[in-house]
Amino acid sequence: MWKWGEKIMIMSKNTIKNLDFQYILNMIEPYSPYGIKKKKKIRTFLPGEEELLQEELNKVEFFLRHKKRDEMKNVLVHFKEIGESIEKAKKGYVLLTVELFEIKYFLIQVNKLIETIKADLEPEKIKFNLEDIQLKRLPELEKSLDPKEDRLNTFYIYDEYSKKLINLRNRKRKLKREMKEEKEVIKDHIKKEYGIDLNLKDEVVVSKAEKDLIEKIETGDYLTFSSENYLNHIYALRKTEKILNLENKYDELKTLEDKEEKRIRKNLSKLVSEGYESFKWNIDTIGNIDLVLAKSEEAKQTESTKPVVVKENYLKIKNGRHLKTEKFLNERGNEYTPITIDLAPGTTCITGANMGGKTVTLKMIGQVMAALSYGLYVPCERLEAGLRNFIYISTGDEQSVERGLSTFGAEISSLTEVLEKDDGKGLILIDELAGGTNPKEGYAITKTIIEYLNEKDSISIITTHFDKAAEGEDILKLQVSGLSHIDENQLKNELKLNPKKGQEIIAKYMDYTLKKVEGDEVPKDAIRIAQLMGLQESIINKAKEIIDESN
Amino acid sequence: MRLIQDIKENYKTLSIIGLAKNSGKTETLNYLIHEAKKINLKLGITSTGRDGEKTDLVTETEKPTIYVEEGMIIATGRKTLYLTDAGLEMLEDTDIITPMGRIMICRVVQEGEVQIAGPINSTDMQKIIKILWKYDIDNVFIDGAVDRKTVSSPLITDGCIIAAGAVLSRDLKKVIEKTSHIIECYTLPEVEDDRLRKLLEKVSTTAVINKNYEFEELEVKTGLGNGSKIKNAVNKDTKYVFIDGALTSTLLKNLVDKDGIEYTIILRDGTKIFTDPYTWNNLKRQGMKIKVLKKIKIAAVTVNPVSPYGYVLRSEDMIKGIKRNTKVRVFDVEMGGENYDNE
Repeated sequence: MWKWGEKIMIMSKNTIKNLDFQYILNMIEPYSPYGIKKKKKIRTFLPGEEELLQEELNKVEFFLRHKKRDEMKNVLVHFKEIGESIEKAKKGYVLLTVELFEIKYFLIQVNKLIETIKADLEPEKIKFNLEDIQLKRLPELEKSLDPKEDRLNTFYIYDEYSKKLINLRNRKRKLKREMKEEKEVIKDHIKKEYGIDLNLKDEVVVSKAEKDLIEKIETGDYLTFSSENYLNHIYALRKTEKILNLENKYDELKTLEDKEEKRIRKNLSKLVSEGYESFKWNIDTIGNIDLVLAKSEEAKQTESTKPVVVKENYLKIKNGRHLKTEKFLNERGNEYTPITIDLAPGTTCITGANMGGKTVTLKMIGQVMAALSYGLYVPCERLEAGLRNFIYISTGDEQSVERGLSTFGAEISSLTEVLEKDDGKGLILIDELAGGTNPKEGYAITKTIIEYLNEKDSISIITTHFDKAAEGEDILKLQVSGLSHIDENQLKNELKLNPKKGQEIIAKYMDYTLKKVEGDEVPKDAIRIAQLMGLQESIINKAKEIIDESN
Repeated sequence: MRLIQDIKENYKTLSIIGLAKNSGKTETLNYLIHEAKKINLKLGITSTGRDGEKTDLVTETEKPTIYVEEGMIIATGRKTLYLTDAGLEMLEDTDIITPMGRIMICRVVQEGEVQIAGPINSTDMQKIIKILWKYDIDNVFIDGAVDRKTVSSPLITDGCIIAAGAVLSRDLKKVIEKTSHIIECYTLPEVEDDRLRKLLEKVSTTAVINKNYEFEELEVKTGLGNGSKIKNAVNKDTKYVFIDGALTSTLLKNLVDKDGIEYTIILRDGTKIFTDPYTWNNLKRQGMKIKVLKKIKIAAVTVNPVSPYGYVLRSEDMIKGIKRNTKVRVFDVEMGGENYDNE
């Protein structure tokens, strides 16, 4: 286990950043609010949890191959958050109509999801606990929320819920009609006698200048003074005894109707509360299904493959890709060269040409292994590997400004922490250790650390330019194939034609693959590349002289 | 023809906008709902942002809620449903989020009062209108707004009704002047020059267009305060000046000041005009020419002669005054709507 502060994580934030692993995490996009919540708490798998990881990967595979995956996404995307309503019901509160509607809709979606999953499911072929993706139906509640049995998504406290409700509503309607009719009679009188219409509020505005009309209205039976401003009098329809009675009755009925509706909502809420455990199970399971489906979508988009998980301490990557770099290159019309590498406990050193993609290779290894820990498919043709307790990368360019450390300081400080906590099951990736300090001391530190890590059980990969640092029989040495096999004249010609595109052209001819090196010879091609890039001839020659002298 | 009939035939989507708070917008909407019921028009209703609250948050004056009739379809934020008095059947849960919660689609099954708070941006509003049409309705009404930056509803509906209130000024003359000015701006003539319309599809900012239909885009974010920059780009060959943004009094004065130049100012629509009526009328007399890409159709103007600040104007004077300046139908809802006709 690896603890970064309070949180148990397999990588530090810095490592996630340096590996560009967020790029992969961002591609996991669950569809429902439950899946989104699950993603925030996405788990990693540690050594000893191989079986669990295998199950998770089998699930990803199941959803990846599921014939109705698009339909499934469409169902998931329609789920709405109902957790709060469920908790409310559990506490004994009466749910609102809108909340019951959402619950009804949730149950309908649950049924759809069940059907969709079932449409392409052969239980005997399932290689994980089937219960993990089994949702629970709540038939009694479903029925209660559909009193009209019309199987629609809609919801209201329908008349069908109780005879009492129908009765109250019918009486209410009747009263309303009677009230309107009674008012119409009065309005007709008003129209006939004063020649005026009432507005929607059953009021009429009369100018103070119309003294005769005001006199008539004030002495009449149909209107009553309501208010005035300095221009007008406002009169309202005078409610007759009958209207007042009807209004009172209507209010009574309305109160009774509200009560009855509440009683029905209370019963329904009780049913919801009784189904609490099933709802909780479903919410959790939908979240899990959604997250696994999102993982399978990520696998599909990145053309990743199912890794082979072993309990032993090694890793074999066949044609691994660093996704962000690959995308970057593809967008510019260039191709990414996949890398094959086998690693065992102890130190492996990678040496080789500048611009040979050593850093990207380190990041690729980290990214692939991190994907494995997160239970994802991996971006390579094949991966066979044991789980890691932690992943660490030092790229030598981290500056901890807030801690007041320089590049070298930050590099050493984080490395110290890692070496202290190393429990033998880590993946330690170091790019150009001590590259920013003086060569003599840098060499000494690098060599010591290479030897130190070689004695440990963690898998460590270090890139370095210090040619003698990797000396030693039992240290695995790899080298970027580089520019050794190419037709130099052709390259030179091309560079001559496009002198400003040196970097791109060299990248085109660069062979990024790794090969094993026997002996301790480290290629010196910095000068060659500098020459190809067009550094002044005089400088190149002088540099060559210096090298010859030191030999 | 009665207004509702005109709306039924010519304004499939209609927004009701107020020129100020308390200018009688909600009363107008209630009136239209009542009228629609008489001819069995099935309505879909929503609003821009939260509206129809019991009390107006700004002036604390009472503001009526919307009275909805059976069969109407409404689109409103989830939170407003805690407070309704009408019986609402829940039909659909949308994905459109507002400060009042997700927009829900409901059918009125028992008439009564509701508060309606719809989408707060144009894209969402268009989505909601589309959803409402699914429910077999005849017309969509939007309790709208132009003063808000979020949704300028007249631009996405077939037309609008403007509620003008005494709240605009204590001075009757000014109320009439302001209202008439806005009506004039909204109904400015549309660009008929097809070549220009085509050209403007390529233009994404304020630009000067010459008689050979060559355009020069100007580096101004809005027309605001950039009068001199535009003015410098104008010469005797200029045929049009396209202002992409607000047209203020200062900018307008700047533009029309230059002697001897005959060009037409082009705006996207009349809601982008923020000039005072005085400057506007003055420059019109000097020969200013303005056209718009989209004219806003006005179905009617309603007046509310009572100001929440305690003063009252004479309703018939407001109506007469506005009618004299424009050709639209004008009436006072409180006075009895179209039944009260002073002519």
